Amino acid sequence: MNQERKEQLVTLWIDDQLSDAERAEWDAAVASDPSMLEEAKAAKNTMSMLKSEIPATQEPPYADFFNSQIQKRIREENSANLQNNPGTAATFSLDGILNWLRSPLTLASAAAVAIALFVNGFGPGDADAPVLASNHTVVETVFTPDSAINVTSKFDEYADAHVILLDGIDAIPEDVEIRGKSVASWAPATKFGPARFFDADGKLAYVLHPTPTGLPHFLPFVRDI
Amino acid sequence: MRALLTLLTSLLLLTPLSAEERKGSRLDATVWGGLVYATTGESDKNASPVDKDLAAQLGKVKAFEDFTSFTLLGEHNQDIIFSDFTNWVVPSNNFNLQFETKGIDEKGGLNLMLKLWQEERVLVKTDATLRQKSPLFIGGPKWREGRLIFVVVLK
Repeated sequence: MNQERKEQLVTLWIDDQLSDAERAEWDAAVASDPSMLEEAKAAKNTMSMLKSEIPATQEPPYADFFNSQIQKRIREENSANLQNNPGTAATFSLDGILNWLRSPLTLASAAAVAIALFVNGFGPGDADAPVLASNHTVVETVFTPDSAINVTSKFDEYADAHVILLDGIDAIPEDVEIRGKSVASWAPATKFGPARFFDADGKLAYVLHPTPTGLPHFLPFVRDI
Repeated sequence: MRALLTLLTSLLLLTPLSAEERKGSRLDATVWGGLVYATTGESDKNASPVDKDLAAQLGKVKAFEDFTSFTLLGEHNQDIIFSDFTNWVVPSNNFNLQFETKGIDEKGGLNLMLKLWQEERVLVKTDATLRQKSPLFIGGPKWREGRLIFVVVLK
C-alpha cells in the first residue's frame, strides 16, 4: 500500500467514514503495520485537543490574503477543468481541498484554524463572486509586509471599483509637502541608464534609479526641479 | 576630463532607447495612475480637481463618503507597457506603483502583480486583473485634513 492510500484511509478512519470495503482494507493494513493505528490515534487525539483548546472561530493574520489564495486555487482548478472538459459547468474539487485540510500532516499543524476559516469565512457566495465579476476589476490577493498596516480589500458594487484600504499607517506630518507631476511617457531603465519619466511637453519629470536591493530611488537633482 | 564625463553621462540619459534594449513585448494597453487628496476641509488650491466621473465613483465608496473634495496631486498616463518587465506608474515620487504583467486576458483585462510604494516602503502587494471603467482605489495614509488615495485605471 502506498503512502497516499494510507493517508486516505487514516483520514477516513478519523472521520469515521470508512465504507465496508475500506474497513476491510483498513483492518488488513493495520494488522500488517500496527504503527499505522498508533499514528491515526495520535492524529485523532491532536484533532480533539485542537478542537477543545482553540476557539471555534479565530481571526488569522492576513485573512484576506489566505481567503484569496484559496479562491485563486479554486479558480485555477475551475479553469483547468473547463479546459479539459469544455462545455461542462465550472466546479471546484471540494474533496481535494478538504483532503488537503484533513491530511494528518496538516492536522498536526494548523488544521483547526484553517477549517474554521474555511467554514466561517468562505461560503459559496464568496467563491462565486470573483467569477461573476468578470467585467470588473478583480483583486485576487492582497498582502502587506508591514504588520502595522491593516488591509481590507473589497469590490464596491455601487462605485464599480475595487477598494483596498490601508489603515494603521502613520499620518503624514502636515508640514510635509506631497506633490506630484503630470507624467505622460517613460523610457524604461537599461544597462546604460535609469528609467526616465517625461511630462506632456517631453520635459524630464523624474529619474528613477532603483537601489541594488530594488528600492525605488529618485535622483535628488530631479526631485528638486 | 570631468566635463567629458558629464557630457557622456548626459548623452546616455537622453539617448532614446532602441527596441533591442527593451525587454518583453509591448502591450496595447494604457494604465492611468493618480494620487488623489480626499478631504473634508478646504481643497488644495494648487492641485486640479479629479475628473468628474472619477470623483463620482470615489464619492460612492463607503469609506470615502465623508470626503467632500477630491483633488489630483499627480498623475501618470502610462501607454508604454511591456509584458514580463518591471513597469512603473509614477504620479509622484512619494507614492508610486511598480507592476509586472503577463499580458491581457481574453476579456481585455490586464493581469498585474502590483506593488505600491511610499518612498522606499512597500505598503501593499496585490495580484489583480484591471478592467476598463472599473478602477482600483487604494486608500493610503492620512494627510492634513484628509486622506491620500492612489487610483489605478485601465483606460
